[in-house]
Parts: sequence; structure tokens; C-alpha cells
Amino acid sequence: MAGVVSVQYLFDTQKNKLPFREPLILKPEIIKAADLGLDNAAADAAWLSAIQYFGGGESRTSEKLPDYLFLASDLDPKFAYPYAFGALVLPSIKFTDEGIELAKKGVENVKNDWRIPYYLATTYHLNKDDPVNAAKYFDITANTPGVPDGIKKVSTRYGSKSDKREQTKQIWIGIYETTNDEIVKERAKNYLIHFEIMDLLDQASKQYYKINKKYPAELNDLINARILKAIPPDPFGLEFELNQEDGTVSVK
Amino acid sequence: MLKIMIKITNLTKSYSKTKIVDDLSLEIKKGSIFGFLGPNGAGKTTTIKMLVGLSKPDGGEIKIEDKNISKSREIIGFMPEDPYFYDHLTALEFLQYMGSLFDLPRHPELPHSHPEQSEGSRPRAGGFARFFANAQNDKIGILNKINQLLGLVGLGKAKNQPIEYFSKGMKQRLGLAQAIINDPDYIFLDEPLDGLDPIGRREFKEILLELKKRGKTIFFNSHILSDVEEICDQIGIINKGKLIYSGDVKGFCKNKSLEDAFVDKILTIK
Amino acid sequence: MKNILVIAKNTFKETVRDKILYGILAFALLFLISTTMFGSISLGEDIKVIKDLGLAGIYIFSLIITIFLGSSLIYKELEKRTLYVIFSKPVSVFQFIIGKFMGLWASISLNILLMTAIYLGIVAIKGGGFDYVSLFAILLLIFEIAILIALTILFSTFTTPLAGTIYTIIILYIGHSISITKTFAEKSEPFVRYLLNASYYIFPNLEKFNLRNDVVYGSLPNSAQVIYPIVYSALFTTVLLSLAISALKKQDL
Repeated sequence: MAGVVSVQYLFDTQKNKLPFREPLILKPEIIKAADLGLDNAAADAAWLSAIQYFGGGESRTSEKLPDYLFLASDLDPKFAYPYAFGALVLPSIKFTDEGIELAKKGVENVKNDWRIPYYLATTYHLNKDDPVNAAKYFDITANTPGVPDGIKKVSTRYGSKSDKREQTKQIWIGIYETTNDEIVKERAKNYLIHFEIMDLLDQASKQYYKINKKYPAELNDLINARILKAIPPDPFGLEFELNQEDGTVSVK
Repeated sequence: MLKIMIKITNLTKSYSKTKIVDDLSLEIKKGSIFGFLGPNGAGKTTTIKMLVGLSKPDGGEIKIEDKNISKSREIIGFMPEDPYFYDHLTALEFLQYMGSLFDLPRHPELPHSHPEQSEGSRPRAGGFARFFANAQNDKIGILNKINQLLGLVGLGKAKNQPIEYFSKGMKQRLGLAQAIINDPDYIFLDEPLDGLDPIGRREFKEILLELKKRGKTIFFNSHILSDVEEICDQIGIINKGKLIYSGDVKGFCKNKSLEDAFVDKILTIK
Repeated sequence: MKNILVIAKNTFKETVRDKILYGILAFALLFLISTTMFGSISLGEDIKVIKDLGLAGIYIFSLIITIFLGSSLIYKELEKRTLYVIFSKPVSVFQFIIGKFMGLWASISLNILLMTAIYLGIVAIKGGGFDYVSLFAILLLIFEIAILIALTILFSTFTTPLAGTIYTIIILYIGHSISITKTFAEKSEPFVRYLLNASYYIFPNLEKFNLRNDVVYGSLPNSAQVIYPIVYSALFTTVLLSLAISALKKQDL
């Protein structure tokens, strides 16, 4: 019994010392030649690897994520979700252009998944600050069969509201409510919290003005004035600052 | 005067330049039991395979009732040496399979069988009468016939057992059964008594003698000389592909035992 | 011909009762159940993943069963012992080969249908409804398997089970990547192109039997996609079995 336990213990400690090895990414042509025609299953394997790789936590970087997603889409061009997932997640890890390229390929190959143009439009809006392309893809979203009403509303109203933060918030609400994907849902939640905090700071700042007839110089003033108990921590770890002239909150 | 029914003329067979069967000629009379003897590797199995049409002679010819073997398969039966069957079929299923490869039975309709006879594990002479007598065409008739056959060869109790569980002796019995299932006139057996215990050998010999009584012609290979001595009318002895004796047993033995006479003969040739 | 049916029926009985076959089926069942686990970690794409992996699994296990049954069973017979008992009776080589083929095909098809039933059950339980479109993929699978069975029979008439298995697997891979070969051929010099084009027609093009990637998206195949492969299978199988019959006839048992 002691022997069994000690062997298991040694094995476990050894395992932690081994470097993390990411699953190999082969060229799609090679996989297609070797998989006996089971391209879809191979695409699924690439997709599952992508999720494990990205969400698993063991790997230090997420560099290979675009490769996995592109591989999945090469093996199964009609596989919708990797396009959508990539459109949303890749920009957040500094692979914005790859995310856009992937999503565009998705819009071409998959005609009935509203998430792809929606997430692509979101990326254009958020990361590229490109309202023209965002509008284009929101339009495609609104015309995609099977699009939920809420999303359709957000998409068609894009550009008509001037408040960018409110617009973005609506976009993320749409995503949060319609996704089953834990990773994406988490991301959407964080955005919503982020915007909620900014709204909260905005309101606090206006309250300060009502009391003191001027805007706070810095965030701590809000605490000192007993308007807020504390500055809530931002889910993205960003810091906020105040514009003393008009009391608006923005990211540092 | 018995007619010559199996005529072998100048039979030759070679494998890669070695003559396994060399200019063999034999005549086997109808209704007789012919024993084919020889040391291991003498060419006995090769000969019998040519007799039943499994391999083609390089020279010479074989005629059964003056016809080629390819035309005679309905009326012959063959039991190979150390036969292999299908593991997952039962003895009964296997015999049904073998039986159905033939056209319908050739004998006219006769009275019903007595089913209780098929359960015994020892063959009885009465079983013979029923097996050969009952040749109804309908399915039940054929099934009864097969059950009787199984009883005859002593496999009555094992008929629903998958063959993979059979002992060597049981497989030999099944081998004999499938060789006579079509009630053939000519029966070829390769080492039929191999692997049987003394009781089994006695039972087999009884069956062969009974078959002879019914007018069948039997040709068998053996190297168990005492058995050959007991039941054969004629023998042939082959050594290194050549026939070195053909005729009746007494003429060969000349007051010696068959074994002694055989060994002497083989050694003198060497 | 009565003999063909008799041989087919008994070949079916013999192969269907093989215990190792039950083991392979048990593994297939476990695999199919495990696809639900993969589905659950796929971030919302569970039905697609279950279907893709399920159909892939049925395919792989069908191949395993075919190669296992095809190479070992026929070889045992051709080890010339049951053959002595069969061919000393009024049975022709033609009847034997065709009967063996039919029996094996029936037995393997039965196993394919069993796995399919389990697959359909799993998809239905997981909320995917009754996946009747996948039945077209299964239909073509059964005809693809026919070619492979004929291939293993052909190989077993002149070589050992191990070699036959290896050849069959090689041809399996060639069969699925052959279309790529054709496009490659277009870019090559005349001699190589001729060779590659010839091999395109000689080796069985197995990719045409593959509807697995399409049925998952619910698209029904058109009649050409179904009828043409079936006819191709019938013709190719006939050629292979004819070769097997000649090969066996030539042999001295």
C-alpha cells in the first residue's frame, strides 16, 4: 500500500516538472490526406483543442489560438462557431486582424449564423473604431435568418444613438443573453460590469456636482465626499480617470 | 463378379520437380473396402485429393463409374485428415449446411423414422436401417435424417454444441457424418481412425462394414495397420510415390502380421 | 442459386457469433456514449460534435470489424481445411466466393445498423431529434464496406491475413485521398500525369461514399450522390470478386 502511494506521489511530482506541450498543429492538407475523409471530426478536434488550449489555463500564451481556429475552419468551412468565437476573442488577445479575417471567411461560408457578422461588427466598433464596417456587418446580422429580435433591434439601431458607451453596452447585452458559451458569456459579463461601473462613476460624479457645484478632481474625492464607499474594481483591471471640466469618466 | 468402379490410370503429380505420385494405377471393385497404406509422406493424401477432385493430376486419369470426378460429386463423400470445421456452428447446423449443398435425396420415400433412436451416444445397427431408409423430401424428414446420422456416429448428445468445443474424436465423428450425409456410393476417407480411442475405432469399423454391406465402395488412407487388416478386402501400398503392392491382404501377409510384412517390404525397397 | 444462399446463410451465422466481434461492438458503444462528453465541452456545439464524432466512430469501427472478420475468417477457410470439405461436394468456386461475400456483408451490415441505432438514440436523447439524414451516410457506408470486403476476400486468396490487412489499409488511404491525387496530376509532367490518372481509375475512389461531412448540416443528398456510388460499388465489387474467383480456381488445394 505504501509502495502504491509513493509511486503515485512521485509520478505526480514528475508530471508537474514536465514542460507543457501544446498539441501539434498540422497543415490542413496533411490532415485531410490522413483522416480517411473524416474532415468534420478533425475540425471538431481542432475546435476542442482550441477551447482546451485557451480556456484550460495551463498554457502560458494564447499565441496558437488563431492557428487552431483557422485549422478548424479549413477542415470544415461550414462549422459556424469557430468563426464567431474567433471574431470576439482574438481581438482581445491582440489578434484583431486575424479575428477579422476569420470572421469574414465565416460570413462568406456560413449563411445562417447571425453570431458571426454580429461579433465581427462588435469588433469593428470596439477595437477598430470603424463605424462604417461595423454598420455594414450589423446590417448583415439584421438580415440573417434566425436572428433573435433583441439582436436585430440593436443591429438596426446602430449608429442612430450617439452615446457610444450605451450603444456598446446594448451590443454586449445582446451577446450575453444569447450565448451558451461560457467563455463568451464571461467576457460579455465583464464588459457589462465595466460599463456599469463607468455609469456608476458618472452618476456619482453628477451627484458630487450637485452638492459641490463642481466636478471632482480625482476618484478618491467621491469616496471622501461619502458618495461612494469604494471604487469598485474593474473586471479588466483598468483604471478610470475623471475629466474635471465636464465630469465624464473615461479609461486611463 | 464385382465390377471395377474406380479406375486410376498412370496417375502422376509433382510439386516443384519432385514426383509425389508417380505413375500410379489401381482398380477398385464396387462394394469393396480398399485400404491405401504407406509411410508418412508417401503420397497418400495427395492421391486421395486427386480422387475427389481437389487437385488436378499432372498426368493420367481417374474415372468413377467411367465418368470424371467433376461429374460425380453428388455420389461421393470425402472426409479429410484432421478436419477443421466452423467453430460457431453447432454439429446439427453444420450437417444441415453440408446436406443442403446437395440436390434433393435420391432415394424413394420410405416409412417414418423413430426419433428416440437419435438420442443415443452409441451407434446401433438399427440406426442404420432408419438412416438409410428414411429419405423424405420435406424439411422435417431431412432434419430427422440428420438427427439419426448424428446418433449413428455417436454425436447425438452433442448435436447442439458449437464445434469449437469438440474433442478430436468428436471432430472425427463429425467428419465421417458429413462424408456420408448425401448417402454417397463412393466414400473416400483420409486417416478416418486417427485420434479415436479403441471404442471409437471399433464403432467406426462397424459403420464402415455396414456401409459396405449396403453396397458402398470405400477407399481409405491409413497407417494403423491392424485396423486395415481387419476390414479391408484389398490394399494398396505406396512408397515415395510409387505403388509397390496391390491386391488382397492375405496374399501380402503370407502368415506374417500385416505390420511385419509391411515393414519388411518398405525396408527391402530402401 | 440455392448454394449461394446456403453458403451466405451459414457464413452469416458463423461470423455473427464471433465473441471478439462482441468486444469490438462493446468498445463502439462506449465510444458512442463518450461522444456526449466531448459534446459537453464544446461550448454549445454539442449536437454537431456528437454527430460528427458519432458518425466518424461508426465508420472507424466498421472498418475494424471488416478487416478483422474479412482477413481472419476467410484465411482460416483458405488454410485449406474447410475447403476440402466444401469443394469435394457439388459446389463451384463461384458459388463459394459469392456466398461468402454475401454472408460477410450481411453480418457486417447488421453490426453497422446496431451501431447506428445506438447513435440515433444518443442524438435523440441529447435533443437532436431523429437524425434521419444520417441514414443516407450509413447507406453509402454499407456500400463502401462492400468494396472493402471484396478486397479482403481477394487478398486472402493469395496472401496471408497480415499482408492482406496491410494492403487493404493502404488502399483505404489511397481511396480517400485519390481526388487530391487527380488535382496533383494536372500539375505534373506527362508521364507522371499518366501514372496518376491511371491510378485514379484503378484504385477505388472511396471519398464518393462520404456523406458524413454534409449530413451533419442537415443537407439531404441528391439522387446522383446516392445512386452513382451504389452502382460504382456494385461494379467494383464484381470486378474484385471475379479476380478472387479466378485466383482460387487456379489453385490446387
